[in-house]
Amino acid sequence: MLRSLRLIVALAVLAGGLFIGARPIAPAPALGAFLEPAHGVWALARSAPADGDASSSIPGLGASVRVVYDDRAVPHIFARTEADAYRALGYVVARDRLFQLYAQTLAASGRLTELGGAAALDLDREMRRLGLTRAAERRLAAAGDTSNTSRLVRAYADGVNAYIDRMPASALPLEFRLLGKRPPAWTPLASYLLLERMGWTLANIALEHDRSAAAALVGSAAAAELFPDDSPIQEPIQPNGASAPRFDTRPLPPPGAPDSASMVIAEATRAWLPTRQLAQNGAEDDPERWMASNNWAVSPARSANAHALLAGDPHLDLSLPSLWYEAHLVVPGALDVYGVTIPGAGGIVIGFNRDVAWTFTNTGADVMDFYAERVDDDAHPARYQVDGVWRPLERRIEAYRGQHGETIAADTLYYSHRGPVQRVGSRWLSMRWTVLEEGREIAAFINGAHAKSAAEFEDAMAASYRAPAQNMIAADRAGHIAIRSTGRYPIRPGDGRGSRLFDGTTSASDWRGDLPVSQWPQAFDPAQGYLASANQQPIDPRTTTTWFGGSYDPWRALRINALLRADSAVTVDDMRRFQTDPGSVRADLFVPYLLAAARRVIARGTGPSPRVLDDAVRVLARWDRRYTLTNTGAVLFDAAMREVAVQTWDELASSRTGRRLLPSSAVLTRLLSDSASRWWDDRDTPAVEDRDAILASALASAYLATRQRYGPPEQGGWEWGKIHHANIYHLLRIPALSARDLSVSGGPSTLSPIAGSGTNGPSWRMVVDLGPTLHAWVTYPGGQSGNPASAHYRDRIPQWVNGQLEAVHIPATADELPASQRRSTLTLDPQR
Amino acid sequence: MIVFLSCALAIAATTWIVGWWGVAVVGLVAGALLWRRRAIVWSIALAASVAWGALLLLDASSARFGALASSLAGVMRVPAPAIVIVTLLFAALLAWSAAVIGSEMGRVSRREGLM
Repeated sequence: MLRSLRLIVALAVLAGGLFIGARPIAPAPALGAFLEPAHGVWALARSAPADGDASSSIPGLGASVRVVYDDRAVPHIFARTEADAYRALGYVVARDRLFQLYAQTLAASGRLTELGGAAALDLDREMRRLGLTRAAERRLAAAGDTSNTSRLVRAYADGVNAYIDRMPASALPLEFRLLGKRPPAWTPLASYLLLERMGWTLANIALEHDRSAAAALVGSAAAAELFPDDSPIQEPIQPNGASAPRFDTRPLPPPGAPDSASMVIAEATRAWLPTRQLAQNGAEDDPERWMASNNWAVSPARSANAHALLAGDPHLDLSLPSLWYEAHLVVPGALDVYGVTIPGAGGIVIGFNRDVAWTFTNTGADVMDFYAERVDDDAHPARYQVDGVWRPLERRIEAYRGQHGETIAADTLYYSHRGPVQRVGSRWLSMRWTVLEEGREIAAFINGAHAKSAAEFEDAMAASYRAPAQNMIAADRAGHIAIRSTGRYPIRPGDGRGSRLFDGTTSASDWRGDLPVSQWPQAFDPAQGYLASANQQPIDPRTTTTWFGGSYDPWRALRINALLRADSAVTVDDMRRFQTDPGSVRADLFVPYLLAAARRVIARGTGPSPRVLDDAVRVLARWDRRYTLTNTGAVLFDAAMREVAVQTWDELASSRTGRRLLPSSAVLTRLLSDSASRWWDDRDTPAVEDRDAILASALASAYLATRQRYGPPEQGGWEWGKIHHANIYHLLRIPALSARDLSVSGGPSTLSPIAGSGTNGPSWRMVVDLGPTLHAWVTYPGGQSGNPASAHYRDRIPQWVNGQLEAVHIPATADELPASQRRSTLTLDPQR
Repeated sequence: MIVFLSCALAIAATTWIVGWWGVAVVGLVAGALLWRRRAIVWSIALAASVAWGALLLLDASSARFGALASSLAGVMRVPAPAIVIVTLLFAALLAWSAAVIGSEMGRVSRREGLM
C-alpha cells in the first residue's frame, strides 16, 4: 500500500517535473533548460565574452581578423579589408548585444506583439501604418546587390549570423531564456529598419500638431505665435554675426475665434504617430521639449592647446543595454575609425578617425506633410485620383502575431505615390515623409568614416544622408571646424511650409525637388572661433524664408554659446565640464521676474498669503540658479514654472481631448514685458489677473505643493539630488536589470537635461582633442555588454552620473595596445 | 559510496551532454538496475543534487556568478539562495521520482523473471 502510494507520488512528481521542465508557465520560462547548470542560465556566468581569449570563424572572411578587447571592453578590430572589418563588427556586436539586436528589430518592424502579446499592438500598429518596413525594403532594394554599402551590410549580417550559428548554448542571453525564444537569423533588412526607427524617433512634428490643435481653441493667428516656426529667442547654429542672443519682445496677439478646420493636421499627426503623441504630453517637463542633443567645436584660436576641440552628447532614450556600442575598426591604409555604432545598424555613427571627429544633434525640420486624397471607394478604396486620373493604391496586408505565432490582428494598409494612406475622421489622407523615401544613410556613415578633413566629412554626409536631418559638426587636425544641417529639405508649392493640409487631387501639391546643399544652414571656420548646436533654430529667419526646424527650447543653446563666448582658452576639461554644466539661462531669466512679482503682490496686499510668498521668495532668492545635486531652489523653480504655464495658458486646455497645450517657456518670455496681456488673465475667475498676479500665484502654489510633498525646505527634502533622478530601464523594463533612481545634476534647460520620468538624457558623451595625435574621452550610461552578469553591463554609469569621461585607447595595430590595457583577444578565421 | 559517486558522475555527464532531462533518464535506469539496494532512490536523488551542485560550482568559479545570481534573484523576485536551492531541488525531485519508478520497474521485472 505504502509502495503504491510512493509510486503514485513519484509518477506525479516526475510528470510535473517534466512538464514544468519542458513547458513555460508564464511568466516563468521552462525550468529544465533554464535552471540546468551546464548550459542553462547559470552558465551565463562563464560566458562573458570579453573575459578570455577565444577563436571562431565567419563564412566569407577573406583573411583572419584579430579583435583585441581593451580594459573598457571595447573591441579593436584589425582586418585586411573593410568587408572583413564589418563582418567582425557584426560578430562582436552580436556577441555582446544579441538580445538587443532582436528586440530593436521587433520594435522597428512592428512585431513587439511577438514578445508582449496584444499589449504591444498599438505600438506595432504605429510602426506598420507608417510603413517603416516597406521603406526599409525599398532602401535595401535601391542599394542594389553590387554597391559597396550592400556588400558591407551583407558582410555585417554574415558576422551576426556567424555568431548566432556558433554561439555555445551556454551563451544564450538571459532575456531569450526568460522569454523562451531563440535568436532568429539577422538580415540586411534589419540594419535599414533600425535607421528607419531612428527617423521615427527624431523626425516628427509635434510643433505642427500643437499649433493646429491650438488654432482650434484660440484661432490661427494666436496659435501661430504660441507655437511659432521661428523661435522668439535667436542664437542660431549658423552664426549670424551677433554677439548676444536676440529676443523677440513683440506682444503676443490675444486669443481669437477658434479655427476648428485647422484641427485636421493635429488629427492626422495623431493618426500616424499616436504613441509619440502620447509621449509628447505637452507638459512643461515633456521629454520632447528637453530631450535633444548638444555639440560644439572650438577652433585652435580659442583653445588652450591651440588644437581644434570637439564635444558631443546626443540626448535620447536611455536604456540598458545602451543604444550605443563602442568599437574601433582598423583596415591598414584604408580605414581607422573609432566611435559608437547602433547595434545592428552597421557603421560608426558618431566618432572620429585619425584626422576628423564628428557628432550630431537633431535638426527637427518639418519633413512630414499630409494630403487630402480622393479615393474611389470610401470603405475599401482601390484607387486614388491625381490630376483627374485614377491611380491604383498599393495594398499591403499586415498580420500581427502573438507570442506563440498566432495571428492576433490584421490590417490592410494603403499607399499612394506619396506614402501611406489612411482614413482620418471623414477623410482619406496620405502622408509624405522623408524618412520613408530615398536615402543612403548607411552609405553616409561608411563613407564619412574615410574623411580626411571636416569639409570632406560634411560633403560625404551631404552626398548620401537624408533623414532624420542632423546638425553635423566636425573638426579636424588641421584646425578646421564645420557644421551643416544635413538632410533632405523638400521644396513645396506655395509658401514652402508644410504645416497645412495639401490637396491630394493635384500633382501641383507635390514636392518639387529638394533644397540644394548650398542653401542648407552651415558654417565653416567662423570668425567667432567656435560653433555650437543644441537643436536651436539652425539659421536666423532674417537670413532665409526656408524653415529648417528649431522648435526646441533655446536655453541650452544660449548657455553653451555663453560659456564658449566667455572662454578664449578652452581646455579639454572645460569641454567635459560644459557637458554637465548645471547653469540655466531659463532660471537666470525667469527667477528675477518671479521674485519681483511676488514682492509687488505682497506690497499690494492682494493674492496669495504674504507669509507663503515670503517663504517662497526666501528659497528662490538664495538659489544660485544652478541645478546642482544639493541645491534646494530648483525644485521650487521647476514647480513654479509648471504652474505658471498651467495658469497662463488656461485658454489652451481642451475640454474635448483633455490634453493641455503648453507653449514653450521661450514663448512665455514674450509675455513678460506685456504685464497686462489678456493671456495672463485666468478666465475662471471674475477678477482680471495680470502678470504679477499669475507669477505670484504660481510661485505660492508651487511652494505649498512642494512643501506638502517634500516637507519644509529646511529639512533637506528639497535637495535636487533626492528628487531628480535618471532611470535607465532594461529593454524589457525588468527592474532588477535596470539602473533606477540615479541622482544626477542638471535639469530642464541645462546642458545635461534628464527629462520626463528620467528616461531621456545624454546617451553618449565625447570630447575629442584634434592635436597632432588625436585623443578622445568618452562615456555612456551603460556598459559594453548586454549580459547582466558581466562586469561591463553597467560599469560606466557611475562615471556618467558624475560627469566624468574615460580616455579611450586608439591603437593603430593589434600589438600596440599594451598588455595592461588588453583584456582578451578574439581571433576570427575564414570558415574552412 | 562508489554507487553514489557513479550516479552523480553519470548525472553530471548526461546533463552536460543531453541536457536537464538526462537526470530523469539516469534516475530511471539507476533505479531499475539498483532497486535492491537500500534507500537507493534517496541516494540517487542526493547524487543528482550533488551533480548539479558540482556543475554550479563550475559556473561559480567565474567572478560573474554573484552578479548573475543577484540579477536572477531580482528578475524572479526571490532571494538568490532560493534559486540555487530550487535548482538543486529540481534535479533531486526529477531523479528521485524517476528512480522510484525505475526501482518499481526493476522489481516488477524481477518478479516477472525479466531481470
